[in-house]
Amino acid sequence: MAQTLPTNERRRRLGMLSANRVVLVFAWAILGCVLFLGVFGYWLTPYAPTEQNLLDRLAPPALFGFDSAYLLGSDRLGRDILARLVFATRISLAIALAGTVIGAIIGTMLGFIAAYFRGLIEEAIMTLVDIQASLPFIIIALTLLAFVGNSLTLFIIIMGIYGWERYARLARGAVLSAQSQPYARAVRALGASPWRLYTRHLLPNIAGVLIVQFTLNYPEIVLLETALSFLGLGIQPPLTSLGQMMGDGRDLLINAWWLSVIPGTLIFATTLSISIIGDWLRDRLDPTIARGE
Amino acid sequence: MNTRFLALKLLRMLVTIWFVVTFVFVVLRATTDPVEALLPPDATPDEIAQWSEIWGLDQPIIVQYGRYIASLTVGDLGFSYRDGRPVTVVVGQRIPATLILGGTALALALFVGVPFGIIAALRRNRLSDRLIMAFSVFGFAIPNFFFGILLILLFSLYLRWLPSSGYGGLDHLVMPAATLGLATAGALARFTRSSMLEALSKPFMETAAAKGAGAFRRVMRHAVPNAAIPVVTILGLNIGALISGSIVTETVFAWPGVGRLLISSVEARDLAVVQFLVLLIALTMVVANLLVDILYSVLDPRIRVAGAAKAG
Repeated sequence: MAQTLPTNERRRRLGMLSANRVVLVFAWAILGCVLFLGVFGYWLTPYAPTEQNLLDRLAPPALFGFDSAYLLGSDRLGRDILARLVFATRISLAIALAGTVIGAIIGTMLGFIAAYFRGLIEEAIMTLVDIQASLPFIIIALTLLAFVGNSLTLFIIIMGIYGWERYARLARGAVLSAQSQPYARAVRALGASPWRLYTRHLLPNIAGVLIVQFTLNYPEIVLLETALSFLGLGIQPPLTSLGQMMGDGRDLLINAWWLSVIPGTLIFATTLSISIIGDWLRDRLDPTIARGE
Repeated sequence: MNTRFLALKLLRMLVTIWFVVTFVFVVLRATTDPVEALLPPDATPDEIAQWSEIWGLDQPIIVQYGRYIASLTVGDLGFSYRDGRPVTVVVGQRIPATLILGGTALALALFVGVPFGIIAALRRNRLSDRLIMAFSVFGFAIPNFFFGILLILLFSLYLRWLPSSGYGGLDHLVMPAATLGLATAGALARFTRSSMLEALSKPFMETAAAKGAGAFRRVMRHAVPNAAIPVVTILGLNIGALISGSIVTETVFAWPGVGRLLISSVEARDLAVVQFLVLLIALTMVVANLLVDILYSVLDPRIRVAGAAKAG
């Protein structure tokens, strides 16, 4: 195809390539800033996240030109937004990471189990996969929260249930297609156990696809967690998350827009940058998806 | 559409519904003591025994399960413990508001997303394409609760053009519908674009050009119908996103719909209402998927033929 393209088309494509480059670098930079804030953020502020100053409630952010002792303002209890933001970023990112890892492990294992046992077990697992895929996940999450009652453990488990079905599909498909491959038969013939075949030979082969799935799931779990916390059904005080901070500031939009807008911007920046990086990773790692269009 | 294909789909639909019903039953019984959940905390042991008998809670679990299924099939779904009304009434009152919001958002997403996608494909890699794709990524990535809050800040608090919450005239509908429709519009624009690009590169487009069909006719009569099928798939997948989105959007804008009812019921642990809403949403999803499948075979004769050939 490349040889037949007219020069202006080729030039345009090159232009697009560099535009994508710029966006990608930008995404990495934003992600770097978010991570920096999460890790080293406490250095930027003299206050602790729980430190209240009731004489200085709802102080506007000094960063936007207001006369204030707080770089990003203070909340309704006079707590420093920046310090709370660091705390919330850590929790939101860590919970999403835990959820993504749990989902990836459970899903991959169940996919392997389905492909290994076939028959009824496979049917049962794949039916579960279909059902989870056919229902909006937030409904499943809300049902569990209503019936079990909210707790941090349950909340992390819910984040872990999210998206397992996609890993299960990928892992099962990979095993089924690899079983006819010469290398898999060779490993079997050498006397390796199925477990060894799956973990040592198959897993590295599908690692690229799984990593791509990981980067797609991560921002979705960040969004799920922040949405539930925003609605007051996720992370509960004294802990906080970016969504919980936003929900907390929702009633005070008129007086103190920064309470909601600053954590919201951070959520958006995180999910957007990881999505862009995930797209780029998919183009690099996943040969089954055609490049370009 | 042949009957066997349809029968298979219907069967899968029933299995999904049965599974959701059972899931709700199991989770409910495994996690809560119904007596504790339904009776006031100061109930005497005598009262507890009496009510357990009335509700059949002293029966074996399998009998309870049978009774539960039986009561569902006759539409006896229990009462909201917050105001004592039947859940069907509590939920029924909220449905019109949700349908208005969801319908408007879906229409908005279609009228914005599909034309944008077509324009982007026709003007591939030009500035307009870039802008539309940037809009698509933005719409897809921004959390809807954040977008809703930004709209409230701009149009309600700063410009004072629109009411920030509530239900009533058209002015109440604008911001919630835009918030809910944005993500779907972004997804639709993106998939319409790639689907159109694929259709435009097919040999039949050259044939159409060779026949002397004008540019407009080529796009509208040849490219768009062929590009429609993947777009319908995405639309089907987005029904779920619309339902999840409406839960958040309705809460942000205090819209008196089903989504907000679900959140407040989860908060108050009003289990009968939650249970009914979950079943209702599952049913909606399953029916929507079935409709998408049917729509497919109407749009694409190839699927009909393949289905018929497979069936016999």
